[in-house]
Amino acid sequence: MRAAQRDREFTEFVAARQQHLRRIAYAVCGDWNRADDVLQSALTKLYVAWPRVRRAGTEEAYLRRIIVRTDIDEHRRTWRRREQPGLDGHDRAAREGLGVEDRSALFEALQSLPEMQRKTVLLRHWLGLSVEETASELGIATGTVKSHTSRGVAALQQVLAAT
Amino acid sequence: MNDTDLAARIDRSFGDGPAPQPPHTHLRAGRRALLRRRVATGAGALAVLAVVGAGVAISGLADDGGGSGTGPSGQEPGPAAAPDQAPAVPTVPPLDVRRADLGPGGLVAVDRDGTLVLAPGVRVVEVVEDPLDSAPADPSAAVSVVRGDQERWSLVTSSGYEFSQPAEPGGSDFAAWAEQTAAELPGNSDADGADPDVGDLQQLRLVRFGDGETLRAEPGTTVLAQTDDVVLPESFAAPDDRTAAARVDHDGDLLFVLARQLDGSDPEFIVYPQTARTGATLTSFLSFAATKYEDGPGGGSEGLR
Repeated sequence: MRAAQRDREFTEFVAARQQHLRRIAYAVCGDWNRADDVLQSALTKLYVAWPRVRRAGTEEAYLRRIIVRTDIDEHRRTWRRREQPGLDGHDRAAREGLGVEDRSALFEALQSLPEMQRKTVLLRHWLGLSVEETASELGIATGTVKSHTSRGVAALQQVLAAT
Repeated sequence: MNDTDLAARIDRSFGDGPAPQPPHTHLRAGRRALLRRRVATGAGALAVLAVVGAGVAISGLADDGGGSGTGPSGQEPGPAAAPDQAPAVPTVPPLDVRRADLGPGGLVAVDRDGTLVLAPGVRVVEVVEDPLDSAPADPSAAVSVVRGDQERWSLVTSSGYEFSQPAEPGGSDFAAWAEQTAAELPGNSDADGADPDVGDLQQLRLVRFGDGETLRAEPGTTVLAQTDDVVLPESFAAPDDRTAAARVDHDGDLLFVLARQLDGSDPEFIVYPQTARTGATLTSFLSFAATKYEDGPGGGSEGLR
């Protein structure tokens, strides 16, 4: 595949799907800066693997799998070490995280779920993946998907019932 | 609450956030990553290259006087050829290399089959394989080479394109240079024979005529090289017409300008991007331009625009 073709196809794909994938990353990690970080990393891997992934027609699944398999807790620790907004009182971060005014109680409840419960709920009940697909995306057993999802949805329903 | 309801409520539970990064930001990051991978591949291959080169020297094919205990160029062996390293069976595909006289100033070239061709006395420091991603049709290579005490960075293709410059000082990143140089080549997309769209370029005011057949840069433009020796078919200009050509840098874009003033009329400045087909020198560009101004089968010539 020629470089120009790779660049064009990749750019078109990013322009078309970036927003959706970025929302997935945000829903998983709860912070726009970290979401951008995760997505950037995933897109970089995608570019390197582009000819193969493109041929298979699995670009979005490839990215989604990288995003949801990111160890968010570890990523948060790494990110905190690397990003120090307001350093010395004048070196502010390039972008602030989105204000909470754009998030509902449901989203906050999602973020309060244990990581794997949150991921299974998002994949199963937001993105519409089957149990088997979710298990494949996360690299866990279908039974584990079911139990995580069940607990996660139960916790969310409590929040929704109270609002 | 069914799945559809929950999906819709999750979807509404947060917005789109701040503006995302533009796609080209991700593109650049991807290119860098790809290049790093290729450099890693090239570095692995270089270990083999050293072995191959040593083999050439031992067999007496090296024509640069390389002696015992030296690398293929007669210079001290690099780390890959350290004496304590046994010439193990390669575990990565070898980067094929051969030696040849590449003419005055020629240091490195690449064959149609991707074989790296080194001039006598040249030692390879680093290689990025096929930075133009143009193999197998037109393999390319970016190569950092040393001859004597001078290091040069070259980007070459099997079709004869060559861009070379002294190594950037201060431990600059050769891989980044290779990526940047490859990205600057519109020829990366016109090797299939299609001409780039140059219509918008004609709006640029890059140079003006100075005295005689000299060109002077307009603000924002740097003239990198110019010549009054413009020998092109008469469909471009008659021998007595005022003509000149220049290679310029305009906001980081490398462009060529053909200037002509026919029969005392207003000067014209024809702008064309530097591509793999134009090459990176005025000589190569004028050769390319000559083909564009030659009469075609129908008796006409399209010229450069």
